[in-house]
Amino acid sequence: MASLLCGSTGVGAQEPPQRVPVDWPQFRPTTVLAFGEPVIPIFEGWIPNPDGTITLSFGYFNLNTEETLHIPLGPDNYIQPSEFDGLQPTFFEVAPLESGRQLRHESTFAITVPGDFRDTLVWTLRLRGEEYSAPARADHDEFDMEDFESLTFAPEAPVLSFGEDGPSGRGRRGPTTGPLSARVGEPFPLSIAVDLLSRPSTTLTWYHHQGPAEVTFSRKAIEVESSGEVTTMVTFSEPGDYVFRATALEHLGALMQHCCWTNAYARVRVTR
Amino acid sequence: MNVETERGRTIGHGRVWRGLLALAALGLLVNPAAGAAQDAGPTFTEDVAPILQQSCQQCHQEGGMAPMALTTYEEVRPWTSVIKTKVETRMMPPWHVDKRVGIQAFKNDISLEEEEIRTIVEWVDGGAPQGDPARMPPPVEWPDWTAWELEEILGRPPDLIIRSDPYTINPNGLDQWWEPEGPIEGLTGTRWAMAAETKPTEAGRPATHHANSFKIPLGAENSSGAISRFVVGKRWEIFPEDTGMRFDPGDRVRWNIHYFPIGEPVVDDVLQVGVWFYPEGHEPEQQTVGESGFSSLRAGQTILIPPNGTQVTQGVHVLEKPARIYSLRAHQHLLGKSMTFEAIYPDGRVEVLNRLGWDFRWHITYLYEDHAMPLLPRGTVLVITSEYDNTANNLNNPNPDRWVVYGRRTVDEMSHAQVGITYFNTDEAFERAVAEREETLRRLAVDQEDGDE
Ligand code: HEC
Repeated sequence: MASLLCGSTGVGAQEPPQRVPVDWPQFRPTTVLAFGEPVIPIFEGWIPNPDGTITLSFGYFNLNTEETLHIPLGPDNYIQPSEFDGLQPTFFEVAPLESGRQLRHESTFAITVPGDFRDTLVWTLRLRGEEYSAPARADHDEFDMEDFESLTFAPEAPVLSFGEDGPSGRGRRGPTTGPLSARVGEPFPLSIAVDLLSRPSTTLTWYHHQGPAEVTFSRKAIEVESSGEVTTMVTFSEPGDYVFRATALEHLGALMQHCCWTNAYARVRVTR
Repeated sequence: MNVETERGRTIGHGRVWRGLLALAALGLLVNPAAGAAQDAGPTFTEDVAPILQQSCQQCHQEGGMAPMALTTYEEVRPWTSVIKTKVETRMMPPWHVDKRVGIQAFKNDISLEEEEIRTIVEWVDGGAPQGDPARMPPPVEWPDWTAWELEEILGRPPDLIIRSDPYTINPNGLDQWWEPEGPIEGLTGTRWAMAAETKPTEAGRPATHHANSFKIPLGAENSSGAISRFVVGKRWEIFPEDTGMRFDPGDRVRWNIHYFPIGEPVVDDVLQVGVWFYPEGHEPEQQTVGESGFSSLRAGQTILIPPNGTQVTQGVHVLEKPARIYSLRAHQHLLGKSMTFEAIYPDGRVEVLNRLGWDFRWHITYLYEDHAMPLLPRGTVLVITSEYDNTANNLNNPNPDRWVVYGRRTVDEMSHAQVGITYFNTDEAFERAVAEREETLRRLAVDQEDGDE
């Protein structure tokens, strides 16, 4: 008591004396650095489909602010059971800092399994001698994710379509087009039609999902304020098979709630 | 999973949360009957029932929020060994302040005394005898839970009632957030609030995970602070002496309501916030900002908890003005384990204010006694350290094999503290508060000595 009264601040700490318990937490930060950190595969949750199948959704967290990682499909980047291997990203973009918080890449691809699939599907990444894996099962209701509509800040997932009668869809399974044909060095148009439904706007962003080498986009993110087709030019430096993901997202906050946005995928075969 | 079961049970009872804080304030708690028969060991009617009446039954009664009633011997008998465990580990009554360190003087402390715990444990170990039925204390009479609790305490209904737009809670699926914004009606001039309470509907209560209301001053884009926050264990707040929140005509309210589906729809749910004002024309000395959010992450840091692993994050905040802290509340999700608050004073001394244990089902606001509210000079660094447990030891953990990330879903993690804090405008005002505190503590010390004699 006496020492307390002498304290200039008069903080009200009383009995018991200031003892630090033995199980005191030790600060262990999650480090986000410019280079040298891993990319973590994340199981986001599952979506029950009207036809009885189940979609498992995955994202990733690149813990580098400047290092884009490239991990080709194979022993360092694979999904088991192997019949489901191949849709995962091989290009891991950095994530921006937003209001002081490191963002990641949510729900970047989805795998649809039969309704009676009871196994664990595992996505594994190996990097710099470490192994990271994301086991996925559709067995906890808490991971059942809303898909098209909710009463949140961003209540409606837009419709994304490739061409007049081309693939079209909503939500994170997304439509896929291609393979389209492109040539090294020639700007190639990635065009997609956005239907905003009842919403005022969305941001359409293109991501490099798979491919052997870096590409350049004329505009990575496009503000869409009326429904219609939007185009981004992509330029390649190396031939090979590429996949691009477009994400139409109204509000960043929607990412944290896992509703409601739409992915779409364009496969492009690039030759010299 | 536990939360799931709890939810089911809560609906089953279909009753609203009853503010345990109010009970103490209302003086409705029955005094424990005195005098245990020394040799025979504790019995239910004489020794245990009074403890249950005082510390358990506000929740554990027919139609209460807890899964079972603990009012009669017959009801208690099947639970004796679980009760022993829960009280020994201090999980019940829900009060999760680490008693080994930090400030222990709280207005709403509902924890049991060591001696009460010993009585319960000895009683269970002794075969949980009923004792003489004639010695059973009369049942407690409980108030109407759907009433404004502050009405009893402050002696009048709220001066202003703010209502959220109706929302129909989906019976199934994910958590739902409802964030309507609208004008605050009924203000004709500037008024200062002295207290506020959030009241859920009877039907919506089991589904209401939390509900915050923020005030947006006329012409402003952003909120100037929370009017009221409703979470399990907390639905009202009386601001400290001569401290108030300013309301002007044209102010708006922004809600942040988190509903949890409960298996049946709740149609057109409306939350109400009751506001009690100081007398017209009275401008309190201090302006409150209500609770303020303090992150337990550093800038650029994030939550990423490895499978079957643990994580610790830390947020650091420099107080630009001298401040008084009157309450603490942690907010984490299923994997949160604890949150520790430390103050590093400008002279370098480090003091642990408190370490709060965390259980997702209990969002408890810990209200400091007036004489124990930390007074922190300008330049104090507030360090907030959070622990997370993603192992199978954490019984709330739905999937220990998953990398867990930051997010608003219940299965993703969050970590911030809601700190009831007021700032002093000048260092002189702070010095005065410190001098008053020293005087109060001196008086309390003298009283204590007198009492000891
Ligand atoms: C503020 C309300 C509240 C108070 C006070 C309270 N309980 Fe509880 N109790 C609950 C709720 C709600 C649950 C279920 C959720 C949980 O376990 O946290 C519960 C759970 C329990 C359980 C576990 C039941 C099970 O299914 O395993 C026991 C035992 C228990 N309480 C005993 C007590 C005793 C004994 C006291 C008093 C010394 C007490 N409680 C005080 C609300 C309360």
